[in-house]
Amino acid sequence: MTAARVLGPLWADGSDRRYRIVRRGLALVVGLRLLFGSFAALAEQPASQTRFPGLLRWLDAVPPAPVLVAVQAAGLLAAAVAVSGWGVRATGPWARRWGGAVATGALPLAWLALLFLTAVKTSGGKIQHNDVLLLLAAVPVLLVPENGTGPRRNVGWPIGAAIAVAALAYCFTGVAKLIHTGPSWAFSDNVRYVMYWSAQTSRPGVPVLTELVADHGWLAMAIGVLTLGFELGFPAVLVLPRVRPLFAAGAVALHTGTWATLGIDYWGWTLTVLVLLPDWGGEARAVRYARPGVEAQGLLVHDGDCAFCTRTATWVARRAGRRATVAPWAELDLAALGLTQDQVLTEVWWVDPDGRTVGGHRAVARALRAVGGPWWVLGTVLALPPLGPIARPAYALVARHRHRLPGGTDACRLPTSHPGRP
Amino acid sequence: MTGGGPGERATEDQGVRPPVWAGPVAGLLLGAMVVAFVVPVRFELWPLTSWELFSRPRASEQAGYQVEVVATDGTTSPLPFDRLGRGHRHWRAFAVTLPAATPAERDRRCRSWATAAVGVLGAEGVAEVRVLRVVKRAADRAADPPRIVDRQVLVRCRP
Repeated sequence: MTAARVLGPLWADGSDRRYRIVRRGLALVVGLRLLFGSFAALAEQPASQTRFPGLLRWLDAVPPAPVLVAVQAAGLLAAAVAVSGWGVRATGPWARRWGGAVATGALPLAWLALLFLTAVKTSGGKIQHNDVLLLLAAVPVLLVPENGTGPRRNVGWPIGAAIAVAALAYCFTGVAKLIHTGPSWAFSDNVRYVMYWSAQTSRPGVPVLTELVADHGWLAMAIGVLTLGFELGFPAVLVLPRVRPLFAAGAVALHTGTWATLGIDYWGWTLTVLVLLPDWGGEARAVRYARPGVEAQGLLVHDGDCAFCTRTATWVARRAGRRATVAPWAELDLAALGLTQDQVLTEVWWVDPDGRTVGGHRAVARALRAVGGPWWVLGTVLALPPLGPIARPAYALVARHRHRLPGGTDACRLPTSHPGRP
Repeated sequence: MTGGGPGERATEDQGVRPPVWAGPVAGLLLGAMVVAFVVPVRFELWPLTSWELFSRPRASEQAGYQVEVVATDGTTSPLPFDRLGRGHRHWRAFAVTLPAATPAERDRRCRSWATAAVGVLGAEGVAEVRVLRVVKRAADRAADPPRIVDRQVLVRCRP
C-alpha cells in the first residue's frame, strides 16, 4: 500500500463548511493567545539576558513597550476580522473592492504578529514551545483563504496538512523522550522527579496534585505510560479519522494535567487540537436540523420485523411529532435514500432533510434531539465527538442483544453475517 | 472525515482535486519539521524545534544554579528573581551557559543581575553577587525541600 493510498483520504477531508470552521477556529486561537500574552512586559528584558532566535537576529534589543503593544493590537484586530469572516462574501461597494484582500490577509497578519511576539518571548533564553504547534499547524491554512461564492475547491489538503503537523509534533515529542531517556522515561521514577523538581521551581495550578503524583510512584508511572502512549500513538489520527475525537479528548486531559501539576501553559496546544481534530461542523449541522421548534423533518429508518425496534421507533414518532417521520425499511426505497439492505438490517438509520444519512448511535442521537425536551440534551451529548468511542460500542452491544430486551423476539436477532455478532 | 458515521455520503467537495502546489507546500513544511527534529537546530530555527519537552531524565539528584546576594552587613540571601521583573524570568537558561562562557561574558551576566538586585534591594543590600552551581538531593516527601549536597562558586561580582 503506497503512502498516497494511505494518506489520500487525509487530503480529501474537507468541505468549505468544515474549512471555514477550522480557519476561523485557528484565527480565534491566535487571537486569544495574542490577547492573553502580556507582551509589553518583555520590554523590560535587559540586553545581557537576551538571545534572539534566528528570525529576529536583525534586532539589537527588545523593542520598547509601545511597539510591542502596537503589534499586539494590530494582530488582535486582524484576528477579530478573520474570525468574523468579514470580506468573504462582499456585499457593499467598499467590501467588494477590498473584501477579498482583507479576507485573505487578516489571518496571515494575525499569525505574523503572534510569531513576532512569541519570538521576542523566546529571546528570554528559554525555547518557547507554548505556541509552536499553533504557529506551525496554521501555516497551510494561511495559504488558502475561505471560499465566498467562487467555484468548489479542494480545501481538504490544508486541513489534512495541519493535522499532519500536529501528528508530527506530538509524535516527535514522544520520540525525543525515547531518544534522550529511553523507555525508563515512563517505567522508572522519572515522572515522579519531574513533578518533584518542577514543584521546587514553578507554580503548579493545583499544588496538592503535584505532591500526590510525586509521592506515589505507581501513579507517576501510570501517567508516564499514558503520556508516552498518547504522544507516540498520535499519528493514528492520520489514517483513522474515527480516533480523532479520542485524541482530542486526550490532549485536553494531558495539557490540563500539565497545567495542574507543573503550572505550564499549554492551552494553545489544546485549543489547536480541538479545532483541528473533531468535525464540529458535522455536529452543528445535526443540531440545527433537530433542535426544539425546528420543523425540518428527519426520517428514522428501523427494522420493522423487530418488535423492540418498532416499539422504540413508535415512542420516537409519538413524541417527535412533525420533526421526525418513522418508517420500517421494508416500506422504503432504500437505494433512493442511499442505504443498503445490509446497513438497515444491522443498525437504525436517520436521514436528514438534506439527504445526509447516519447510522447507529448517531441516528439514535438525531432521533432523541427530534423528540425534544430533556431527550434533546441527551441526544446532543450522545453525539459529541469525544463520546463516539464509547457510544459506538455501547450501541453495538445493545443492538447485538436487542432480541433479549423488552419487546424483543427472535426476529430481532442480527443477521449472522453481522461483524458485531459473537 | 466528513462528520458522518458508517455509510454517510461523501460531501460533493471531495471530488475536486487540490491545487498542484498543495503537495510541495505541505511536503516542505513537514520536511522542515522532520529535519529540525533529526538534526537538532534548537534555538536558531525556532519555531521549528527538536520537541524536547521534559525529554531529559530526572533523578533524585539534580544539578542546578543558584544566585546569592551578599549584603554590606555580610548576610547572604537568594537573589529574588521574581521581584526583578519579567526580563529575568528565564535566568536559569542563562546560568546554564555560564560554565562555557568567557570570563568577560560571565562578568557581564553577573553584573547585570547585580545591577538589577540593587534596583530592588538598594545599594546597602548588595555588596556582592555570587553565582553557584549546586547539586541537590530530593527529599522523600514532595512537600519537603531538597538538600544541597554540593556547591561551587562559578562567578562573583560587585554592582
